[in-house]
Amino acid sequence: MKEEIHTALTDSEFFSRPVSELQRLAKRLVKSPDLIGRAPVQCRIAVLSSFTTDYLVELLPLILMRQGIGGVIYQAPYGAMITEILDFESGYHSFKPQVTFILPSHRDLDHQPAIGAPAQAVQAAIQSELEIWNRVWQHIQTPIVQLTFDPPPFRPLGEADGLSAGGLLHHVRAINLNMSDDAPNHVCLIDAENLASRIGLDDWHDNRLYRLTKQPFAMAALPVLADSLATSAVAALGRSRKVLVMDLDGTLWGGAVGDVGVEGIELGQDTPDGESFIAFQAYIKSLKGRGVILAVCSKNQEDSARAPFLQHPEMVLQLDDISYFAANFDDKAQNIRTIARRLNVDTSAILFIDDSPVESAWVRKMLPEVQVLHLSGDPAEFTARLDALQPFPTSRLTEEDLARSASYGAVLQTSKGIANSDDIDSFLRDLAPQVTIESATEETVDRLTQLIAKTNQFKMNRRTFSPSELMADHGHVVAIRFKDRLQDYGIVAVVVMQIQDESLVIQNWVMSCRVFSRRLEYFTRSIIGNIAFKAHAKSLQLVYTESKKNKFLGDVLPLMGFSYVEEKDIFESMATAPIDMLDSFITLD
Amino acid sequence: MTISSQDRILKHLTIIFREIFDDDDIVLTLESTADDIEEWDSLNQIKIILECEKFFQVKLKARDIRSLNNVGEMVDHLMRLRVY
Repeated sequence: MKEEIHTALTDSEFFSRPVSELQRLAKRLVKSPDLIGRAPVQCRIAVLSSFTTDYLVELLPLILMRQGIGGVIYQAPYGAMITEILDFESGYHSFKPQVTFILPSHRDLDHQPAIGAPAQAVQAAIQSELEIWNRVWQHIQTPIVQLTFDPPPFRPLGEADGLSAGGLLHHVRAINLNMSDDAPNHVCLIDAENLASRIGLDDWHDNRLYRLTKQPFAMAALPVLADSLATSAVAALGRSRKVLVMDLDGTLWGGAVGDVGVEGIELGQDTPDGESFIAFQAYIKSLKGRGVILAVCSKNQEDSARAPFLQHPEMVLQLDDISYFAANFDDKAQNIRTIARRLNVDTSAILFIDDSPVESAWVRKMLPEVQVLHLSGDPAEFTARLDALQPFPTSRLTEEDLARSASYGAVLQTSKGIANSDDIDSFLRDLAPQVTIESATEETVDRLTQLIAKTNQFKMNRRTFSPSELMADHGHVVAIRFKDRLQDYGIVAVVVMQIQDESLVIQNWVMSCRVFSRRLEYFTRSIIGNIAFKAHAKSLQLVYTESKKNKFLGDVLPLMGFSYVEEKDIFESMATAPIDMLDSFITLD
Repeated sequence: MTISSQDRILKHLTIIFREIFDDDDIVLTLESTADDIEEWDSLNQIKIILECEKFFQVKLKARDIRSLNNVGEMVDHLMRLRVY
């Protein structure tokens, strides 16, 4: 039972579930007060409305839990929205709520101006409507989350209903705008018209349900409405997230900069994906403009990661937008802990975005309090998906928000972190990684040629091969295809070998940076060892030409049994791999 | 209208009731009323009808929803809507 609730709460497709199922889960949750008691934030919430809120209040505990809030909820009696607030002896005041949800409706509006009324009359009408609300707000000292007036279901004045004085929709819009200007700081408004539009006005309005039970919107609208209330409650309690930690490759631009260089990344007007990444960066930049702190967490060499910021003409985000820049090959959970520490925030204040399902799963597992958005699929959807989360809720732009991003401007260095090796081992094992060994074929030879030519980081030397060389029979060419439970990476490594006098010569060995930190190099080393054994070769040899990009190989080679032989200027190893090589948990398909 | 239609509707209604009240022990007969099930109030009545509409792919009128006071009447109404 609790398993089912937990699965639902962490389901990224939570809002696709039918509302009847969510209602059932909410009922279940309420039967487990100990579960609710374990939520990181306990909160007393009062709900007051001029319409029926029974179904909303039934669903709220589940929606609040999803945002980490264990709520004790007071529901005011039907029709007593204003009176309960104005009367200090009421059940509402005795309940002593920490957050108050107020849900009025356009049916409460009393002073709709006549058609064609002059501007003064319209303003007078608005002031009359707001008078009662100013009184109401004064009677409450704690945060209020209030729904603005909802759009009416009918437009008897046609298009003029929303655009000209005399229309009810126009009156609703005018009040909502004025309310936003007039409301004191402790009132957070939720834009009801926008909420209804997102669902679709036809799906939002339910006139039959209103007649039957006095709930003006459809059951299907309940989860999204409840979620907006919960999100604003999070902001009102000061618990909204503050930091956006971003991956780079595949998230802010297309392609892996370590593999293809600054010129090779997709960012710019010439491709649809390139345009999507620019739009995504622009959206993130506007988040920063209103106080969200940005940090980078990328598995790349630092100079590769910074290069696009420094050199690519289409980058929207600049280095001085980034408050913390972590580019290294250490695990991302550890990096995120460091980022939190250096920025002086709790990890629960962080939203992490990454296109890799593996990195997303790892961070979710190691840091459950970090919100993780796994950006899969079409980059054209990235902005919408991030926006839909509304992870940095605020309805009031405060001076504080705007100043915050400036004060975090300093770009700091990351320190090396140490992850718990048991956690990494079990995580890698759970991914069920699998390798298929292939030889060069008509279909794959172009990919292999390109991989060898374009890879910069894991590459032994500068030697490249033509397709015909790879297809020829004289040497051994091994292509490594890699996949795991979450993703199929395709062909990610190539080893080109030749037997010379009882030694297996590795003419070159490349591996895509996409599969760094998967220990695939150790598995490949074992494969090479087996090939040498079958060919009766007693040793392995390779030429390692150090460059700016592949410097780290100098540390990796000894771990695979290679040592430098100065007289021949090569690296040599026994055929068999060292016994103490790291376990990759990879199986052979 | 055959007896088996009625039985089938009753069977599906039972599934719906069990889901909505989160109680696998609920047993419905044509005579069952709100007195037999504790949480069966007007609010849950709405949920039951909405589920029926979704499952049987029908739409009831507001006045009909309010008038269905026991399971027998619900089954009759659904049969009249030719759900089976």
